[in-house]
Amino acid sequence: MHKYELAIIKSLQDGKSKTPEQLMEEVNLGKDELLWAIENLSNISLIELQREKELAISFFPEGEVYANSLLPEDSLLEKLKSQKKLELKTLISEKDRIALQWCIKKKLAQIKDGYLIITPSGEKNKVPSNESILLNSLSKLKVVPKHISAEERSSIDEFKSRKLLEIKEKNNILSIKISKKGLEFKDFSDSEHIDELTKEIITSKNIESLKFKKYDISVGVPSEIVSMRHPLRSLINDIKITFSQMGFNEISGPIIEPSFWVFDSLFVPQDHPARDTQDTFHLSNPEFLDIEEQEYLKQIKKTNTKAWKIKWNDNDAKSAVLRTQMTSVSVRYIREFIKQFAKDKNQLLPKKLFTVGRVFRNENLDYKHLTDFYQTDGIIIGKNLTLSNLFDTLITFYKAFNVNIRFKPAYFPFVEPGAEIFAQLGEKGEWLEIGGSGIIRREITGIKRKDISVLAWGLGIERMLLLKDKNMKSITEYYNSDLGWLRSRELI
Amino acid sequence: MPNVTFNIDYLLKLVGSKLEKQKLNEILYKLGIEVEHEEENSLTLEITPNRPDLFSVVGLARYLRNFLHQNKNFHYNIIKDTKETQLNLIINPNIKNKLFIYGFVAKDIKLDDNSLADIFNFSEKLSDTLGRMRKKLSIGIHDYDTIDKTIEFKLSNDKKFIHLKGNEPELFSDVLKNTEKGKMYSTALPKTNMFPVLEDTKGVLALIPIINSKRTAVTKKTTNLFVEVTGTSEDLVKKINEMLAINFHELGAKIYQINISGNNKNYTSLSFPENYVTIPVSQIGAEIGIKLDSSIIISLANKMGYEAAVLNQKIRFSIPAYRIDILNEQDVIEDIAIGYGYEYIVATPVPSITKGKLLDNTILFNRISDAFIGVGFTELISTYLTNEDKNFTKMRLDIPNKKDYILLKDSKSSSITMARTHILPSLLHVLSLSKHEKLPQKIFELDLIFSIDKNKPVEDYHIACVSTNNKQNFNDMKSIIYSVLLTLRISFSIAECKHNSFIEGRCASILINGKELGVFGEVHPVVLRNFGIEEPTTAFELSLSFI
Repeated sequence: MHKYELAIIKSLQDGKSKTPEQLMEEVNLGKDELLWAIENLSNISLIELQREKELAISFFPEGEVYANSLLPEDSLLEKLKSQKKLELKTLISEKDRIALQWCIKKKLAQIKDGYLIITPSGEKNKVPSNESILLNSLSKLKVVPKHISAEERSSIDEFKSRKLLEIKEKNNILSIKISKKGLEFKDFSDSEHIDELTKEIITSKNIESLKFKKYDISVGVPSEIVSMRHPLRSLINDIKITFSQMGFNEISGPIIEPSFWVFDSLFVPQDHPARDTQDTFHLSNPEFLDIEEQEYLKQIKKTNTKAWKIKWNDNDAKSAVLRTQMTSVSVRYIREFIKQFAKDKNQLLPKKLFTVGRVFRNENLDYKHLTDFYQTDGIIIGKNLTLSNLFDTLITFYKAFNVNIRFKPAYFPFVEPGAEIFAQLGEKGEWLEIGGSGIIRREITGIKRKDISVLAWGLGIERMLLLKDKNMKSITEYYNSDLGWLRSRELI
Repeated sequence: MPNVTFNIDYLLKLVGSKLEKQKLNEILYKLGIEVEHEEENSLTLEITPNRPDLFSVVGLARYLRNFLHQNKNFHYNIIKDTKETQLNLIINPNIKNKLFIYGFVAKDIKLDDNSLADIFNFSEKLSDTLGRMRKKLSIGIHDYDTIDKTIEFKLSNDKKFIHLKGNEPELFSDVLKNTEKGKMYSTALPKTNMFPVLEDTKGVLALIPIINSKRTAVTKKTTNLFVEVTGTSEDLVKKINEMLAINFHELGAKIYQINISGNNKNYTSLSFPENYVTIPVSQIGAEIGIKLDSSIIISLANKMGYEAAVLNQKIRFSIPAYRIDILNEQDVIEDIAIGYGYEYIVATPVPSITKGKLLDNTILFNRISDAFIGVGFTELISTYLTNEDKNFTKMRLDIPNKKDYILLKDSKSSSITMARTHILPSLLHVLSLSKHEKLPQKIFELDLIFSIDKNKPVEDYHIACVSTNNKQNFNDMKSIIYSVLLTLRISFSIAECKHNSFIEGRCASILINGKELGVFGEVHPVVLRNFGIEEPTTAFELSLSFI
């Protein structure tokens, strides 16, 4: 028997019922050690436990805010009570939108002709509502009280579904008492059988004849915390290793770029909606960034103006953005290469390059949408490259991850021919789009095919996770993970 | 990507063959057209923006018909003599080359519900996507028989006309404010009190690019049409005009070009200039990676809608007028590859072997991360984007001058306003979400942070970690830092420092090569409270800029 267990049995020999706190003090143990030992003793029926179930509440940040003030629909109702109606256009903040939704759901208000109007039942409802009061008191109690009304019960369920709070069942130990069997337990110093092995015993003589006390191997033990890499990082490392095994050199480049490198140099017209602040993060500081490559700027300006029939705007090209795909890194490298190639035509070819990094979209954050996520981009610069070379490279890459792929003709402004890549979920599953590829347009390289062509692709990494992690609910869990989620990951 | 809904029966009627639904879907996939949504009688397809000709049933049917039957008729019978229609379009000098107009007359057309719906959907789709919500291009279709034959295109004062959906004469300015189209497209107009209009002696035909007049409205009974295209790019206006003329021709109409004059120019509206791309026979197969002789290429070209001929080891492709996306031979080669079928292109390896290499940073950063994992820290990946409250205020730091950090414009989410300047808030945030997890809680992150130096953005790698436990002090973190950094052979010294996020007297700065690059210590209880953390917590953050 472990010394902690012995100490507890000894201290309980007086037959009194004790709380865990009393025991901790008497036997001088930490809470974790005590609970572990008690669990063991209870398993072998040497002690009796009196338990109590408790529903512990923990608040999410949103719930905490409401608990300290009011539910958003209450705040809105209060406003409505004084103003009778509110113009919908004024209700644009995230909080207002939530409030609006709940006011309507609870029939406190209705929408009419662009206005939010209070309903008769809204007029009757008082502020703060019972729900707000309940939420506030729950935040102080931290547990669900034993006796609550059906109405309160359903309010709590609603708080749960609104993700304001969560409830976990806790099994508290109220008191510990020695059992009959425990009272008869006398084996406090078993001189014949060794309990814990010590340095003294190992270094003593005649250790061949020692007898060891038998342990109950079925006893429950506390779990260890396994520290590990983030699963997304593991996948990124696998991708990097796979590309380097295929003969690719890793490159990197800036996240914050003038629009020129993210859009113009990739042949995205200046009036294309994807460039709007609706989809792309533009910066208000720094608002513009210089484009060092004046000569290339001239070339791109000329081809884009001609192809897209637009008036070129220098500020649109300079506008600072968070890159929306990794191809900005590739195209910067292509430009560097072309400058060197102009000086020295005897470059060692092909050049095979890849990059992995984060790209950004201006999204409304929710459980399915993220503002930043990972992509990997690759290029091959060489002579006599073909579409079939491109297909082979991608098939080889995905084979390393046991993923079957196929190609579909597709349009991306900067490649021609272009192909979308589809991967099969499982052996007979549906086909999922996982990336785009093609041969870079010669308007971008400014070089004739007989000299050089460039194969290129961009692949979503989150989609690869989906192929690997069958339990994945949404990609957002990989970025907004709490420690519980991280600790429950399996190494893949 | 534009989604277009097609009536399946009408589509197949125009294609002229009975296709099983599954077969139709297969062909669409081969052509790179994705089915977005399927219903009993209709298909919603994702049409890529480079193929506006496929926004119409007529155009899609033509594409499929060519693909299935190798249609060899590539010529359109246009009546060039402008006297036939006697329609004159005059551009007033006040238009000043800021807007351009082209048009044509289509006679003896038999319209029904399907064709009428397609014509309107097609012109709406074109002016919304290619026309950028009518800023760049818009299309008007009128009943030719209601028009007096001299039409003027001009900027007009605000005046009244009965628009398509109205009953009483209304001022242009009121049409902009009160009608659905007016509200939707008024931003396409420059901010002046002059309005671009088409007008004949009977009055206004159209307020451009908003709405037509009630007088010239087209119905199923209309047999003769006047079609006009206006916009800011002459080239685009001209090409879309030709694309529309071809569509009406295919619907059985007789097409007449018209005479346009003004701004010291006099031109006819449908010139259909010959447009060729010529490519060596050998290059086409070589670029795709398959062997193709000239006869196969010509047959594939026909299948994809091109007329093609062999000329001295080269193939001359004539580009159909409705294809506005062909810029060079790469575009044509893609079509040949699609005609051949991507699924039949055999993958072949890039012929030469190269040696691959990871970035030094990738290798080094993995080593650093391994060291932290070795002392019990779990890795985290979090978003780079944050807000001032989380990044500064909750950390007990003053919000600096806006010039000193990366600030985002028009973020959709109110919780995202800037790029993070350090990693610790991300880690503390995760602790705040993990209150019920077992102690100790130890996490780290090695990733980018952002700042501004002399108006230029700077992207730096940082390593940061936090450790939380019911007992935890400065020396616990000090022992971790010393062990890890020494294992990584990073030589450093520490010095007393003041940092508002930490308890005074229980934090230290880390100096590498004499430069203050990091900090560690006991997180200030106010910071912990701000993040909702209830256990003592120590933290560390170091810039890896010295590497």
